[in-house]
Formats: sequence, C-alpha cells, structure tokens
Amino acid sequence: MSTIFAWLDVDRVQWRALLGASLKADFSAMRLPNQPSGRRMARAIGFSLLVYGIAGISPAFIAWIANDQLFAGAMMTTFVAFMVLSTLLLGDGTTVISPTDHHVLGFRPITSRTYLAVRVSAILVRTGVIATAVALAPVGVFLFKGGLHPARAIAALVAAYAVGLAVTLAVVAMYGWMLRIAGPTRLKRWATYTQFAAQSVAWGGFFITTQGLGRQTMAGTSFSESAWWLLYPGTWFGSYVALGAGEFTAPVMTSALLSLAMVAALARLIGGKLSLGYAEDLARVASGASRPAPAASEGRWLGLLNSETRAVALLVRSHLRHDVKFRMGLISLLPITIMYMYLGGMPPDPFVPRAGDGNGDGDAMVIMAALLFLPPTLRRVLVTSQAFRAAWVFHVTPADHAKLVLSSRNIITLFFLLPYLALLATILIYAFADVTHALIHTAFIGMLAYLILQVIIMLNPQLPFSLPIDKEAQGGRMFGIMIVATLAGLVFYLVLTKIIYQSGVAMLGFAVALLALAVVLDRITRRRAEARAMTYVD
Amino acid sequence: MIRINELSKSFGDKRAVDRLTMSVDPGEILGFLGPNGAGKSTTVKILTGLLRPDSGSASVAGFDVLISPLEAKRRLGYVPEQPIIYDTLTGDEYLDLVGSLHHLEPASAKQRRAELLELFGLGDAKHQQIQEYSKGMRQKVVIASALLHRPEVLILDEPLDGLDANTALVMKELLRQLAAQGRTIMFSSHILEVVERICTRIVIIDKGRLVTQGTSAEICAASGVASLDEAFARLTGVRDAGLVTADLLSALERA
Repeated sequence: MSTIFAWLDVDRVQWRALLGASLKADFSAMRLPNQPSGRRMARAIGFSLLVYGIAGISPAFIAWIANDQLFAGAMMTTFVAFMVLSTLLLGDGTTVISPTDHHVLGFRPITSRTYLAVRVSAILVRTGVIATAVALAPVGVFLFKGGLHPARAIAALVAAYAVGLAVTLAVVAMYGWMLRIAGPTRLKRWATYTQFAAQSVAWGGFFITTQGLGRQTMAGTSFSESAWWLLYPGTWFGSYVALGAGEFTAPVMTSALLSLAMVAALARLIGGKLSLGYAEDLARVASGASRPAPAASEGRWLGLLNSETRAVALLVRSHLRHDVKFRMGLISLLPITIMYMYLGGMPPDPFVPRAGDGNGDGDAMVIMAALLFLPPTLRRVLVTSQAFRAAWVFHVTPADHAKLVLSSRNIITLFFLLPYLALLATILIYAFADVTHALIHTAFIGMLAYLILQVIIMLNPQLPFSLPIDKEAQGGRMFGIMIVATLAGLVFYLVLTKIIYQSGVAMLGFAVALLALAVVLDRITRRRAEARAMTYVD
Repeated sequence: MIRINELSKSFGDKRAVDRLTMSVDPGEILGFLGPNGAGKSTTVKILTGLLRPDSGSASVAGFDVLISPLEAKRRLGYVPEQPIIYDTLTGDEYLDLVGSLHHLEPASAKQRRAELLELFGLGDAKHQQIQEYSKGMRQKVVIASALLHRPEVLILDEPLDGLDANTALVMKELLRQLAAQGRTIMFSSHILEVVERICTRIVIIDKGRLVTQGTSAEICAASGVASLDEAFARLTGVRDAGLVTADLLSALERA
C-alpha cells in the first residue's frame, strides 16, 4: 500500500486524515435533527440508501420485463446517472470541489497531488454508495432473471460504477467550464439551475419511464434493431449488461468501447481541475468583488400591510430576488404540475356526465394531487432557510409569533397559491370549454388547498425562515407528501364529483362548510401558535 | 433596569447558570464578565427571550421576561455576539424588518433608519445586500437595529467586535451618553481594558455563579491585585499567566 502511495506521490497520512474529514463532512449533511450524533448519522445514511434503493425499483422493473439486454442495461445506467448527478449538484456542487478548501488547506503543507487523491477518493466513495444503492435491485434482477446469471449481474454492477464515474467526471468538467464562461458571480446561479434541470429530468424520467411507456412498450422495445440508440451515452454503459449476457455483437462492442473512450476523454478533460490550485482559483474569484445588486424599489404596497405581515413580506421579497435556492423551491412546482398534466392529459369536465367506466377521472385526480402537493411545499420553502440562525430577531423583538405564523400563511396564499390557482383556472377553462365549470372547480380545489395549508401550519406552527434546510430529510418528506397528496386528491375528487357536484345546494352547503372550517382552523392555529413556545434553533 | 433572581439553566448534566442573582440599574453600564463557558451567553439569551430558564426569574425594564415577554422586548435592544442577520436583505431592508417587528410607524421609522445608517457610515451601502458587507458593516447594522426603537435597556455582547477604531470610539461615547440619559446598559466583553474604561460597575461570573461585583477598583482591591486582568484570572481560577506560558513552551519543546 505504501508503495502505491509513494508511486502516486501522495502523502498517505494526510490522505487518510483528509478523506476521513471529507466523508464525515459529506455525510454529516445527511444528519437528521433531534437525534444523537452517531445514531443520527447512521439513520440518515440508512434513509438515504433506502431512498436511492427505491429509485432502483423502476429500472429493476424494466429489467424484469424487457427482452432486450441493451435496453434494460441502458435504463439502469440512466437511473444511476440521474441519481448521481442530482446528488453531486446539491449544495452548489461543493461536493465536487469546495472553494473553502483553499481557505482551510491553502496554508497547510499539502501538495496538489494529495489533495487530488483525497477529492477523487471522497467523490468515488459517495458515487459508489449511490450507484450501489440504485443498482442493487436491477442487479438482483439481472442475476436471477431466466436462471442464474452472475456474469450479467457483475457486468451490471460495473456498468453502474462506470456511469457513476463518468457523471462525476462530467460534473467536474462542467464546473470548470461554467467557471470559465459564467464567472464566479453567476456560478452558483448556473449551478442551481443546472441542478433544477437535472432533478426535473430525473423525476420526469422516473414517472414517464415507469408509467408513460407502459409495460407492453418496454417489453417490445429493442435497441439492437436501431443504430440511433448508439448515440445515447446510457446505452454505451448499458452495453456491459449485454456483454455480461454473452452478446458480443458489433453494436454492443461499439457501445462498450464508446463508454471507455468517454471516461478517458473526461478524465483527460478535467486534467488538474481537482487540484488545490483549482480550489484556489475558485476561492479567489468567489471572494472577489461581486456585482452590486441594483437598488431595491421602495415597495409602497408594503406600507399597506400590518407590522408582522410587512416583516414576512420583506423577507419573502428579498429571498425571492436574491436567494436562488428559495426561488428554485418555488419554481420547481411548475414542472411537477406539468409532469402530472403530461401523465394525465387534459382533465375532463367533472360536471359533464361521462359514459363508460369513468375513464378520465384519473386525469383530473393527478391535477388535484398536484395542487394538494403545492401547500406543503410552499410552507416548507417559507419556514426553512440557509440563514435560519438570523431568526433570533423574531425572539428578541416584541413581534407576535402567532401573527408571524399567520402572516406566513397569508403571504403564501396571496402571492403563490392564488396566482397558481389563476394559472390552473386558465388551463381548466381551456380543457372544459366552460368558464363557469372551470371557475367553480378551481374555487373548490383552491379552498381545499387552503384548508390543507391551514392544517399543516396548525399542526406545526413555525416562524418564517427559522429552520435549517435538511436536504436529505427534504427528499423523504417530498416523497411522503406526494403519496399523501395523491391519496387525499383521490378522496377529495371522489367526494366532489360523486356527491357535491350533483346539486347546487350541495355545492353551496359544502362551500359554506369549508369556509366555516377555515375560520375554525384559523382560530385553532392562532391559539396553538400562541401556546407553543417556538424556540430559537441555533 | 435588569433584575435577575436565583436564575438557573442546565443543558443536560451541565449547569450553565446556577442560582444567579444580580441587577443593573438605570444609568448604569454594567460590564458582564466571565471566562469561556461561564454562563454569560446563557444569561443574556434568557434575558432576551432566546432561552427559557429552568428556575428563577429575570426582568427587563420592570417586566418579567417569562410573564410579560412582549413588554420586556419592547424596551430591549440587543446586539448578539455574532452578527447573524438575513443576508439577502439590504441594510435598509433589515432595519425596516426590525422596525416592523417593533411596530414602529413606517414613516418615522424610515427617517430614523436613514439617519442611523448615515451616522454609521452606511448611507452609500444601504441598498446593498448584507452578504456584500464586511464584518464591521454587519456589526454596524446590528447595532443600528438595536438602537432603532430607542430602547430603555441595551444588552450588548461584544459590540465592538469588528468595528474600526473610529467607530469603536464613537460607540463607547454613545454608550456613555445613553447611560447618562438613564438607559440601562449591560455590556459583555472579553476585552477587559474596554470594560474597565467604560463600565461603571462590573460583575464577574464563573461556572454560572456570581463571583464578585463592584467597580474595577473595588474588585482589584478585594482581590489584592493591581489590575482587572489579574483580578479576573485569580477569581476565575486561571493559573498565573507566566506559569501557564512556561508550561506551554515546555510542552512544545517536549514534542
């Protein structure tokens, strides 16, 4: 071992110490709050592996029903690539290379080669963990489908690691490129948009692949019949599976060679990007003078609000303008809605009786689910912040905590829920070709969404921007919210269409009942917010 | 005024504040001293409403911080040890936010924050985001936000940290003048020279308990030493600085 380190010109002691610290830092980001440190870390890692493991179910399903090995392998590597990509892009890509490294390590006696070895090792461990978790289920399928096939399973695992490596190298190269053309000021913003795009594609791909293509399509899809699939890099790495299954055809061999060429080219492209010198460049430009922000407008409308609402509005406005993560948290709701609509198609008019077995109900349900998904997401975006420690100001001033909580709800409703409903109403008017039906339907969905928002806030009243962003917990929470929202959407939709929409009296009665419930919830929320000691999270 | 009576607070097995009793009167600048981990920050956090005590009571401007927290906070200005503020806001917006939380009338608050920002030399940077500010500029914003609502009681934790010499000089004079107006000031710092120079009375705590109180001269006399540094070291159990230094040098040579 010592010989290898000596040959690489890497300081073994420094490498071990720095790698330990780096992995601890990477995985400590996964810790959950209110748990003892050790258990917290273990649980968080276990939870992450579970989430990544669940992401592997779809490619496993595809591998199970697909007849074409190349296609099945390509689907698996696609999922691995998306998951690795999403993870690496979290936190402005600091997983890949951190400008702060220079400040911490720049004055220490560490060579660029040792630093390179540490970064590469840390990234490979992280990538390896993700690739293993995502590939576990499909590899199991490749092992047992149609008899025992260990060579195919090993090839699939190698394919997962290889595509993970390629994605990692590509991300490093991309950062180098972005830094060069975007500059330090825009680097974070670009990174966040890229992260957003990658995540949208990953989630969209997940749904479209599992639900859109359909079982029959996947069973009949064959890459071997078309040369066009060779243009897709996922196929190149997926070809390992075909090789493992004994398919030594020209397209498969070509694909495998292309994958090797890609890894080699990327490795050559990044060159010394992971050096301490590169971190120095990043740190230097990142700490350089940034472009002064344009003067904020006075916002006369703010003067119309009461004190607590004004305070919340000020914070929301500034976060919306300057906090890319906050903005992305809100913008990310749009592709989710679009994705649901793509899956379900244009919703049918629920007031018009349809013959048959009720086909089309599912279409409207997904829209409903998308809307019910909105309030919890908005609320989460509004109570979490990277600057959560600054919330001390709410505790040392005579601000009414209950009012601050309710103001947050009002701001969400006024500036985000209502515009979203307006957009939905426009789409429904187009889909139903009946303005009245569309507006009534939107109004009921809006009232339900508002009630859900109230219930969420009532159950856990929190001050705005006062909680830390827990990225890993967020992923799990989003998943849970999506399931609950879908179920709630199903129930609400059935109640609306099968009972409430049957008569005008029922609609009026239901609307009055919802409004009364809103008033009651408002009172309860206020009382709970007043009674609950919202402690400062330091 | 500030009154603290038999105040206690523990974190797990560690007792951070242990039956602490002390007071600060109007017109007084109290230097609140103690070594690291003595319980100063915990005491300050209880007074400002950031923490709840386990037992005992504390009042600010005559209002119990647990029974009438809003009344107490209305009269309180606070400068925390770290100037952690919402970075995405501009300096002006942050003061606007604090003014709103104190329910200041918007028009007069606007004028007041413009004056304060100008006086602290932040007039040109008031529309810049705080994340672009230097440490000293951030500290000035926090100080301005503590003064914005003209509080009766000021609690300052290392307020001069990061300030340039000129601003620090202004700040010290400002504190004297505010005390002269009858405001109550509690000043926590590790820089004993500053405390000695501007504080009218000093309280030293250690392990959550009050060790001594009085003027700098009284504390020195009671400890039988010539300077506040020495008195502090003696009262808080620190060994002789010369001996510690000798041990450190010896340890370095051994290694």
